[in-house]
Amino acid sequence: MSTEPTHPDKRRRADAPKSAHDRFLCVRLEPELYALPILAVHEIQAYAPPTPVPGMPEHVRGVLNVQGAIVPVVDLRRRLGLPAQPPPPRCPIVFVRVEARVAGLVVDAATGVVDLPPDVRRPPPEVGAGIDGGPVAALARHPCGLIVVLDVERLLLRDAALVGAAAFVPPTAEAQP
Amino acid sequence: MSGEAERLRRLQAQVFDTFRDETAEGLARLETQLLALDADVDRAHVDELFRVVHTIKGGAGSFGLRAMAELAHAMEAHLDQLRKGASPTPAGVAALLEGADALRALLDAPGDVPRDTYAALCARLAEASAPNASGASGGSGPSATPARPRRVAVDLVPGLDFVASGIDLALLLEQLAELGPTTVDVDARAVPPLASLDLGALALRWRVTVETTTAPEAIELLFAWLGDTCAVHARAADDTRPADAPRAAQAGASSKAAQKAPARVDASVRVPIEKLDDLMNLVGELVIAGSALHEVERGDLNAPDRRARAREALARLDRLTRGMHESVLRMRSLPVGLVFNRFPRLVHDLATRLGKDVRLEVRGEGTELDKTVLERLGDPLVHLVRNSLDHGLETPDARREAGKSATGTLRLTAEQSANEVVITVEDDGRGLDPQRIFRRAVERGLVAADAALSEAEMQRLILAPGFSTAEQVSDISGRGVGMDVVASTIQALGGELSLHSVVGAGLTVTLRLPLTLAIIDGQLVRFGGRTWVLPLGAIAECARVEPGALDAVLGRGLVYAYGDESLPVLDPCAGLGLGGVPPGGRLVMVLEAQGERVALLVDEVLARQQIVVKSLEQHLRAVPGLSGATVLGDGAIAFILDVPGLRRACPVAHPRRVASARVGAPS
Repeated sequence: MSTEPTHPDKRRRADAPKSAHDRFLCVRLEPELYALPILAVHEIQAYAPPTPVPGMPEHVRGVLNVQGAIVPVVDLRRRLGLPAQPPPPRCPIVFVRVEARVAGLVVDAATGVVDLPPDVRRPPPEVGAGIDGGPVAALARHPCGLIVVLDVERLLLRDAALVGAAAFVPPTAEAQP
Repeated sequence: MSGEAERLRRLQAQVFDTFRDETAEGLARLETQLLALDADVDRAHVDELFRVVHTIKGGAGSFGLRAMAELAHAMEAHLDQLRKGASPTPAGVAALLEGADALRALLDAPGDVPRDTYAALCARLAEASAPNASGASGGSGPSATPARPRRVAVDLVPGLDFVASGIDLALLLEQLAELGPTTVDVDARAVPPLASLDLGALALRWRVTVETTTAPEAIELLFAWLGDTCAVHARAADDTRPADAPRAAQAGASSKAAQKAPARVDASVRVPIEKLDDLMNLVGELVIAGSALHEVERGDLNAPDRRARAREALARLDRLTRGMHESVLRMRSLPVGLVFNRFPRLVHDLATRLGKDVRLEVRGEGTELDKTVLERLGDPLVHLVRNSLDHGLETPDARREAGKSATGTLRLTAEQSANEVVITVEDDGRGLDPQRIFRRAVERGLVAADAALSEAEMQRLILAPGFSTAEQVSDISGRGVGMDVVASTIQALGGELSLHSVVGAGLTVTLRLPLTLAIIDGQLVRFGGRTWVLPLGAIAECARVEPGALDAVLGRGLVYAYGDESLPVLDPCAGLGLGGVPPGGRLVMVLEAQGERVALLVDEVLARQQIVVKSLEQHLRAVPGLSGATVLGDGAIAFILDVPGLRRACPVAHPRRVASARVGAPS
């Protein structure tokens, strides 16, 4: 199982052009690996303390000024319901964009760019309510371990703290290709 | 070498761009002036028109745009008749307006346009001026005026950038030659010795003597577009003043330049000077930040704080770059008047065509909007104005029958409120006919015949794609494309469109556009350990809390004695999620919004300053009590308090949380 995925991967490299849709930024939330679609990644910055916003839930750490826009910074660990753990001192903030909306995600580290072709990405099994229907788009086996592929759209647009209740996007069955 | 050629080409393009910009502006001014010509003729007015056309003619001639120069010449000839006291005729004004349109078309037309493209129009212009110019032969141009030709000496003094600008001297001379027989002298006295010769700077001067009927001032005007690139001084050569009386000539030139100065500021500098100053300050700081970085680089490589200092300098650079970005964005905001300007003409033309009598009122032209928003706003507004004229406003007869004044009124208003610009298009016409809308909707199967529609549903119908109640499809409106496009354009800009109609009394369309870059006067205050912004307009009073000024009511809520009123004292810390921090008890701000007053406890009152309002809701949900955010000078984000929202979000301060309350609280 650990060697299998590398084979088709290598073959693809030889005869099929890689699609940007299959490229992901791999980030670490100790001890797990997560992937964000590279096309949704807007900018990566070193951590700067965000200005807290009154009345926001715990996972929204505050706002930062990103090129003149006031952008929320989300603690990805809390957003995903992972056990709280202080981020390491030099953690990055990954700014992702969906449509016109931008939000920063605090992660422990950005480890690099990985290619995860469609046949490597598998729909997530039902592992309790935490994964199913949540911001998890797929699971992918990779030589460096299991990577949880995140659905940035759901991460941003289905967060009541980021999108007003009126503009809340109703859940739809948007399956990843 | 090729770099130099490239630079030259760019400069030439720049000069042409300037000409194009100025001509476009001149044409806009021309139009407004021409429309005003309908009402009353005044000499200064006609002179202004003449000057505009004359300058266009001069510029066009010098760029070799023959058709344009020819047309401008015909228009100028017509205007010249008016200048001489002929009264303007409708046909003449129409021809001039048409001429302005043609000039605009020519300006945008790429490449060469045959010289006689607008021959017919030129003939019409000549004809229109003919009846009044009975004595004039042919009536074409200044040369036809029955004055005796005089000798005019024209000095051409090229400026430093003359060579680089790529202006063809031959064309200038040719243009002068068109005024009459010329003799050209070259003055080479200013040419320096070969060793110190700068090939880029032209040291030659030309003296052209023209035998012409054109007045020297008019000749100078002809070349006014050259600006500093080449100074042109013309004076009657018959007075035998020595050719070089430099002082007199210079004084004359500078006073002339001073007279022209305000017009030029209008014409080419569209950025208010304080916005430029802002940018200038930032650039100044940028230089300082840069030198700090150099210092770090030059300093002791092993200094322990080297990294920290470099980081600090970089952070500062970052902040400044952002500041400059914002500053430049702010320069992008332009007055709405730029869009409103086109409406006098449009309304005039349409009203004439439709046989309606319409008075246009424009207000708030100075309201500023982002350039992008402004550009996309033009078409929707044109559509709304056309709709009003075509469907809303009635003919004079119909208006009289309805007991209204024969003249309809169309009002365009722009104003800025808190963080949006509100533009209204308002007419006193017949309003929307709900029955007709309903009938049309039933016909088209959009609603059931027995449905009862609310006003909101009605509005949705009108804004539905392809919906039009116009019985006749005219070339003005009624094709059913429009209102939906207008609504979606406004929405795309993040705005909102709403209609308010009163049958028989008129229709008001309101566009609300968000101001991405609204600037307000703000008061910085501190409480809960952070800095906040209060809109200055909401502050009625700011005072130290005197003993006895705060009273507890029922032992639970504090009130502040303001005159003989008792205002509820808000605890901002509790309301804004800083519950752990007690509010300050030293200062109180009396705030006023929507007719209600409240008192707010703060720790400190800081500076008053202009605040660039940034939307919070662009990427975040709305937060009660906050209307936006701003970035302070040190890069920190401060939230802007929304007074009505604050009132709802904050509880009344509990006496136990406010130290100074006990002083005045009844025992």
